[in-house]
Amino acid sequence: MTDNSPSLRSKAKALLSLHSWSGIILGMLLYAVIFTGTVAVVADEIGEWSNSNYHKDLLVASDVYATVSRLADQTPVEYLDEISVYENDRQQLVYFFHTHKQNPSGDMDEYGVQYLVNSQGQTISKETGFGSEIFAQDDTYALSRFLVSIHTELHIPSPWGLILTGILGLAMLIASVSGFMIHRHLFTDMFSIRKQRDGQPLKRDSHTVAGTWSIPFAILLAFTGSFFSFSTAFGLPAMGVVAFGGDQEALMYALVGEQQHKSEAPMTSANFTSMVRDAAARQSSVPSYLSISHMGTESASLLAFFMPNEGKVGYEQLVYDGTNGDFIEHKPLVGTVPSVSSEILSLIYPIHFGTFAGLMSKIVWISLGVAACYVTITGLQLYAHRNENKNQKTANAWRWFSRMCVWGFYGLPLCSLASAFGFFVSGNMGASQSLWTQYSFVIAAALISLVSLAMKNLKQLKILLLTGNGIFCLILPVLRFSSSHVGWLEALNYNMMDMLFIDFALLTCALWCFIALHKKCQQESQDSNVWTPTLSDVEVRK
Amino acid sequence: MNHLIMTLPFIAFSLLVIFLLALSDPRRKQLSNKTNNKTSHSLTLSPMHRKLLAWSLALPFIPLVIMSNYAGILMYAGAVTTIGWAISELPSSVV
Repeated sequence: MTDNSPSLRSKAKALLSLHSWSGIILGMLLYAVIFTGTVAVVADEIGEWSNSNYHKDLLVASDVYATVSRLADQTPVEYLDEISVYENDRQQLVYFFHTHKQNPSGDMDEYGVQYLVNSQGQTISKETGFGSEIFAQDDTYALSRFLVSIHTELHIPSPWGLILTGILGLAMLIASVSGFMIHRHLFTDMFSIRKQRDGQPLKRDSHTVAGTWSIPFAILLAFTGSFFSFSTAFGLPAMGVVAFGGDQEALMYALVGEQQHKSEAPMTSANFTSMVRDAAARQSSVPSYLSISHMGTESASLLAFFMPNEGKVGYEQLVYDGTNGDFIEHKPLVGTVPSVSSEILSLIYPIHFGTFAGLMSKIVWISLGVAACYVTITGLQLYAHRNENKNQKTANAWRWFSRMCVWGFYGLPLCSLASAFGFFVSGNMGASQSLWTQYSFVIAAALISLVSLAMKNLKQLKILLLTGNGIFCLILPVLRFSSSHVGWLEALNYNMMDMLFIDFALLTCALWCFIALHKKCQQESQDSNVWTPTLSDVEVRK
Repeated sequence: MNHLIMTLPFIAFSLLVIFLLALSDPRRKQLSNKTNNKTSHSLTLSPMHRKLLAWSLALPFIPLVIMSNYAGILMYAGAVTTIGWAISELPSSVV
């Protein structure tokens, strides 16, 4: 023993306390954020699946210039400042003619007229308002938007939701780093699982093994997640106050990399359709969205935004001169000139959500999310199990903790599935999908909470919630088919991989639930077959 | 898409290496022997060989870096993480 051993031991103890208590206090919320984050990885695919849609690449296939020119004639001049164009999940092009101004909450927002144009070029709808409001009421993205919003803000009003998720990201970072530091046999225990044992040793091993393997990505995802939350809640407003004297508009112009006062002298714009096709040819892919600025003036420009291409991780933005159609530059994400900070910033979103290589990278990122969920679950279960076996007084309190774990771990996926159920049923009935997706989640949460409080037997509660999860996973592909009549053969025909992926993922989850259910029922029956002496047995023996 | 298909052989390689590491893990074997486990694992590797095998997991990074396939690097690292976790989670009677 060396002299500093006691101090080292006390440091290790302090780290263990930090690891444990940060996990116990914030673990359940952290699980909610990680679980919905795992779902958010496939938010785009959920959007396509919930609408049984496949992208028709309308941005390249249709005549954007002709439509923009036609719609511009019907739109007030002040909204020609900027035009966003993208293909939604219902094979329509969204044209949002807008300017920028403060919304009722005091934040800078887009305000203008949004047109929905179908693949034949006909205008289906026209809506005026703030961008955030129009998007919040758009039924196309009701399900994916709702699930992503739990991940980013836990549906808590801004900025408090962002602050909370930022703190949760930091808690995950603390738990990962302290877990790494307190584990003395990190590499020797990497494969050690005592599956033949049940209870605390198994939970401890599972927690350690899953935690050890996923430490690098846990740190990476926690950091990037915290960055997102804090940069929006604190970073940008603080920068606005310090560097721009509170002028949010000036801040946004500096970040976007555009001059605040541009020449508004009239000048006919060049053909945007050929610019879009040129950008698509340069990147060998279809842009995700377009942004046309100052159309009809001598400062007109077009920006085409692309998802990461061949081997790259960051996004690409191509800028064209709107007056003559010349390609100008690959624009950095932030500012006007390429910089390291802009490069780093462009990597954060793809690394956090695994959106850099299509479905393949997303499958890997989902697995990482599942591993992180598993670490959280086993960590909390480990503490509940350990403390339940202590003295009677504390055991009762920890039994409530165990109940809360079952409620959260099985309840949250069930509520998420219920929200998808609400989305389809309300769609079939012609009701507002944006509202009923949320209501279904809340109704399911209330019912699960009541059942969790009312059912005394924890094992039966687990079985009930697992059955619910399995049934919903099985029902949802059927509901999707009944609402769209798009079957798997048709999906294969049109290469609708996203829709097929979600359908099969749900069926796999259903299978997993029923296998787990079968195992639990077998275990239950084995437990009930074990002979336990009753009062009458004791009397007979006497 | 080609840059992603390129990572698949590396991912298969990592699966094989991690499987061998798990199979020859002395601590895992020790835990497995404590039970009435009928499966006998005969694979034994020296610590030096195990170290070399573990370090070989870093080899695919070299061609990926040379080819500037950064998406592939992230994909491979993520796949190693999940494969490692999945194989470790398998009961010692299986691996």
